[in-house]
Amino acid sequence: MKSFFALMKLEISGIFSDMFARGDRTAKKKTFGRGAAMIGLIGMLAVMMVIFEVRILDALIRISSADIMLKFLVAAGMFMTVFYGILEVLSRLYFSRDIVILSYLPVRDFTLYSARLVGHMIAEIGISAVFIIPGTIVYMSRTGFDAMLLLRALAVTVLSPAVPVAFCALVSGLISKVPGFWNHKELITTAFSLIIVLGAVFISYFSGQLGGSSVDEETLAKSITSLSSVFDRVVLAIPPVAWAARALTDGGKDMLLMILASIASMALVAVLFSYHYIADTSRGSETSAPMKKVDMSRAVIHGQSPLKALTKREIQEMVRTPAYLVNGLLGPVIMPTMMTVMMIIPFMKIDGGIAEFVRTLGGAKAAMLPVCLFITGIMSLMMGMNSVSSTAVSREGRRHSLMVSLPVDARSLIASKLIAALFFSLVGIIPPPIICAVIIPGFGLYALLMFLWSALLAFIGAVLGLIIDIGKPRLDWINETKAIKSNMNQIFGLLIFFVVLALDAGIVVLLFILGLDHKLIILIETALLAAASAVSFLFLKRKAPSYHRIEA
Amino acid sequence: MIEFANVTKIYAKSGAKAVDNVSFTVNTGELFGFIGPNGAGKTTTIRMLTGSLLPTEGRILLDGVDVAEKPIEAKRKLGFVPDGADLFDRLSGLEYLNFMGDIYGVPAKERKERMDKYLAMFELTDAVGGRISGYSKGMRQKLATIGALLHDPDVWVLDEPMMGLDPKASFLLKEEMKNQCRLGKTVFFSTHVLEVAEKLCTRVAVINKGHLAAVGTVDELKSAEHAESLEQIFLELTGSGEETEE
Repeated sequence: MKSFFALMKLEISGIFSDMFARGDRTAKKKTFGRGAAMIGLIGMLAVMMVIFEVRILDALIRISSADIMLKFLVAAGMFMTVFYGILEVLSRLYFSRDIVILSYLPVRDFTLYSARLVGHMIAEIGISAVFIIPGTIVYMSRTGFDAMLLLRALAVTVLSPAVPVAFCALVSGLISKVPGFWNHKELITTAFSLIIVLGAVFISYFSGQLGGSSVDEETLAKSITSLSSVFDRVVLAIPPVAWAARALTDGGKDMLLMILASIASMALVAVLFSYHYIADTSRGSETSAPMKKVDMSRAVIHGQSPLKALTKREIQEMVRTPAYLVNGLLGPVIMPTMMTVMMIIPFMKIDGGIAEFVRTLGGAKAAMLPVCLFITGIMSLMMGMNSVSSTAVSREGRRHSLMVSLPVDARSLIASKLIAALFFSLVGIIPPPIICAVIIPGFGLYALLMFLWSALLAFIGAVLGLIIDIGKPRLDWINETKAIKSNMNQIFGLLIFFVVLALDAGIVVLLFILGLDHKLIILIETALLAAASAVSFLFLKRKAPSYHRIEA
Repeated sequence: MIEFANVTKIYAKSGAKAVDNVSFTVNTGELFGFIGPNGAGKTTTIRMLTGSLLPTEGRILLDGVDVAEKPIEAKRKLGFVPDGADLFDRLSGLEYLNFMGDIYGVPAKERKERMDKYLAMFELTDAVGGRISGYSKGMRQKLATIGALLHDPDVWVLDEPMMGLDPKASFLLKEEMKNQCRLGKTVFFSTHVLEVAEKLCTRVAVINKGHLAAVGTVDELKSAEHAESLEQIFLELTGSGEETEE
């Protein structure tokens, strides 16, 4: 048992190690800053959830189905744990470099496996907390304080990640048993990652269809009624989800079932997949010398500039690494298109289609600019989840000393990282304006503006991310998921970009309130973003030389 | 020629003094061994030489070029094989070599000639198409060595180069180090293997707890310390061999 707790502590400290600065004179201040950033981000998410929940709850109270929101939040938390955790569990369980050291320790396979699993489950409590706690508070603000409900909410928050984490471990375990997995783990993991991403796109699209237009309260209530019936039939048909959801709303028998299911699911996967776990996982650190002869007469590239070579390497690394592909590229490449489509579809279903919607907004002249700005804002929000630049230096890891020994100036090195990040952003922001131009009549010119503003925002976001990562890169990661996902710089990058976006949105709203002509608003917005891009770029240019002063 | 002039390195984060007022010169055409216990400051010194770290005080000159003042010019002169050979795992061996060729601006013809020569020498031709992530430690070390030699550097810097190499590869590497010196190049390497340093080096430097303990030929050090082997000199100069954090 002692070794179980020691290993679990190691696991948890590995997951949260980036939160705590060590070996540094300013460690306390930095730890405080990181904690504040984390709380800020969680707080921001919680506020967004509260705003959403208050509106939904009011509609639900009117149809006497307030409990459905709590059930929905538990289910959403569990599904998000699976979505965000599945690759993390796979890489943590099977790809971590520390297995080389752990395999020498006199611990049983079951002890190590279960310690890793439980450690990961504890780390995932944050996700369920973001969903359940604010929702419960909002619920009680409308229905009255209920101490038992609060206790049940805490219990469900702590225990509901167990089944999703066990499910992730089950899937990861099964993948690891695929013949040839250890020889082709990157290919298999990449294919699996793409399936997850496509699944997420499908689910989001499906949710968008169900949600319909939320223009007024009546439509919203109707949508929720239709959604809740599907939710009852599809989501609550999964017993562990139903038990956890009802454990929060009803307690009693369902609470007991949830506790039993949590313990049983974790124990079951631990028993199933811990057999030969250390020996199997150690194979991941083995090397299978890939005998792949090449025709040397055709193998040499006829020279390209260092900047091109560096940029190509950055892009190759991003697309060839499953953890980077999913955690870094999902946001900037897929989400802007996904959100644009989800936003447009409900309006296409209105009688008379988009044209009618535009007419209700006061005609094309009045409606196009607000629609354009709104879609740009939403797609930029999605694009802001671009961790390609905010982890660009961190991803170098132990190869940083090799990178800085190359005869390339810091600005070229940083430029290659910026170009790579912008490349992926551009892939993401080109389709939405085209989709809008095709679907919305008379949107052509605004589509160009959408592209221009999104590109400028992408540039600002990438530059800010790089500035943060040059300042304090995390180079001591043990697997690639840690380098990109569990990296505080990603959170800092997100926060700062969201602040920039909020400021820009505030200014635009103010311009509308002041009743300025739309052409003038377009000019001011373009000038603002161009100026912000130039200023941030100048900052990056000044910051770039400090890349060579990083003491890894 | 490499000149270390009063080089000191204090890490900003921890305030630890890893290298303290080190001065010595490595002449052109020398095969120079840099030895010391774990945490003595070897890797820090090498990282300052390769431009990965900036000295807190002092200067490092490579053929008269200050590494801190003109890093690009200085780096062009050297080829570096890092400790542990952490390379770009997602690239194939061939992509890595082409990347290094592009960075150092090696023309295609010379690039191919050198690739052919060294890949055959280190028996890596059959594996060069595969991803580096599938390479063994020794194969990575060999690839890093080829990458460092691809632009025919004037100064070749190797950090613990024998680690992970099989006896044959180790022999070939030592032969190539001697060959580079015969061609008038300078080779500077760190090692723990005192036998290698004793047999191979024209001169050695011993570093301990950041201080330079001795510099000279093995024979000079033997007579100065009244010792019979480099191992004896090493133990005398480094005391009990207490380790410090690097």
